[in-house]
Amino acid sequence: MRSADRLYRFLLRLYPDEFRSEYGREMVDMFRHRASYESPFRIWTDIIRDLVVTVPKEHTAVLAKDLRYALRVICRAPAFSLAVIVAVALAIAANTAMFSIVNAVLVRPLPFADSERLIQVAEKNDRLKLSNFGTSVLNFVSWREQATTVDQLAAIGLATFSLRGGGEPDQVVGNRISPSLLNVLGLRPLAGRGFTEAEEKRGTAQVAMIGERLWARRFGRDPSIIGRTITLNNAPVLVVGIAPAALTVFSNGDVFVPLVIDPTNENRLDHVIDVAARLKRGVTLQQAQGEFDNIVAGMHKTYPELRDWGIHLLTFFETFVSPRLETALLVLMAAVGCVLLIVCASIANLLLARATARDKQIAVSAALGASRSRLLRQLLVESMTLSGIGGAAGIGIAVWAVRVISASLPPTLLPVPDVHVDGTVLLFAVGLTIATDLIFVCRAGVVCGEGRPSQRA
Amino acid sequence: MAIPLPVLQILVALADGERHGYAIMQEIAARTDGAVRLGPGTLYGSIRRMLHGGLIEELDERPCPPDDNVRRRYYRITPRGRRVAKQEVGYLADLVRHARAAGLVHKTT
Repeated sequence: MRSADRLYRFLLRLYPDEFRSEYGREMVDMFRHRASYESPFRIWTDIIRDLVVTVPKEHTAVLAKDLRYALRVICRAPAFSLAVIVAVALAIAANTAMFSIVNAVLVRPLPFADSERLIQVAEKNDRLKLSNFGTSVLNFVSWREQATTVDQLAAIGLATFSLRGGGEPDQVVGNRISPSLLNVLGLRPLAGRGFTEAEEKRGTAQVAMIGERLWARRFGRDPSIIGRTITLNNAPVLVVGIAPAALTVFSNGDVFVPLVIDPTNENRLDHVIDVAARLKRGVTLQQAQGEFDNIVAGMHKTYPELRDWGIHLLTFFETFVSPRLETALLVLMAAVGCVLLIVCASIANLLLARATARDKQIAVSAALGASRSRLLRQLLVESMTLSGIGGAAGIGIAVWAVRVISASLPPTLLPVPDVHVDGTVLLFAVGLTIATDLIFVCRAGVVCGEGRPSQRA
Repeated sequence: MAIPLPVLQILVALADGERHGYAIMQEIAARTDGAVRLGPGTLYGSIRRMLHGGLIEELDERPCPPDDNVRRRYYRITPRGRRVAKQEVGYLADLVRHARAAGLVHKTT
């Protein structure tokens, strides 16, 4: 019986302090009485059921009381509270907005299937100090014939078009792309179809895909645009599909046409296209680099004019996120992080100042028997309410700011189709708010300790 | 039902005299032939809320405890508690009457 007693006493610790100190002894007494005439099984099933239902209930009651008190305190000092809330809101907003960019560029995978297997096949020229340069259509064709460590290669060239049909004539940027590009990237057209291998050859019918953005802007997302003819550079072109938004990462283009390969018109030293490829499963970048080095060595014998040029394979991440961009983003992130820390420190000081003013009140509460943990809990709820309101406002500001930033950045500055506040960002913001609060409370805990009457007397 | 069942049971148990917590629990168990046994958390949680809501009050001096050394606190029903209990029991009586008319109640007597 003794041990059952002790176990029940221990379980009573689950209740809030106040409740336990008020009723704990009588509850133990009641338990003891029942234990004297009821079976242990019956008692313990009752007790467990009782605990599961009533422990959360009592804690909620205490929390609700603390929250009401906290709101009263906050309303009693509106200037102070507003200062804290605004400071927290701005700091959280800056961090959340910055993190949503870091998240989009550095954390979130590129918008392609299995993007870690995607590489750029670039040319390099050590004599000219070029480490990542475009290539010529003829070299692309040679690589495509020889490479075995990659599934497929695809070329991307830049193009501008004068567009007529469906509205005012317009000058638009776009890309000439290999029919294999969507496959290499693991993308599908939003509607209609991509290009066929045959459309790479000169003399086939003129076809194009238009980007989602242009589709929305100029054609009001009308699906019947597929199969219609528009005019590109004064020639009639059949629209066969809507290109997925991820294709815009290459050059922010709106119109895509097949890269027509006509070897008689090309020169090996015309570095006019970029090449993307997908590594075969299980092949490392180094293995592929080895193979491409061999291919280049062979080509040097056949085409001596290429002798200064080699091949440099880069992961897509390296291609799109230059080390400079990565550093810049991380430095900015650290900067706004520092702002948050400064804000936390300043607010902790404000709390300190106010707590000193409330010293008497705390001393009186302590003298009246409020336990230290009770006072800390009160301060925790109070600062949590302040930082919670600030954090919520901050997230609201961040959502708005990200929209504004996203719309006003030059479209090719970041290698992602768009920046937005997603689940990861929200989780970050909430975590940040809680961290902010913990810093407050650590400080408040110190203050509370200093305010104890025993040390003052 | 505007008030929780344990609260109503406690009010009924206190209607004919003041009792301490454990006695309230025993009274309820006795009246229901052991079917309802309020757990300690439910009992004292309800008591705390009822004190706060003015349905019951704690006695200043307690009747001499016959059998134990724990200082037990005694509670009595307040006029407000009596009013609330009457109202609730009235609702329940109505409900039972309707239920009986609808054939939901076993004939007992």
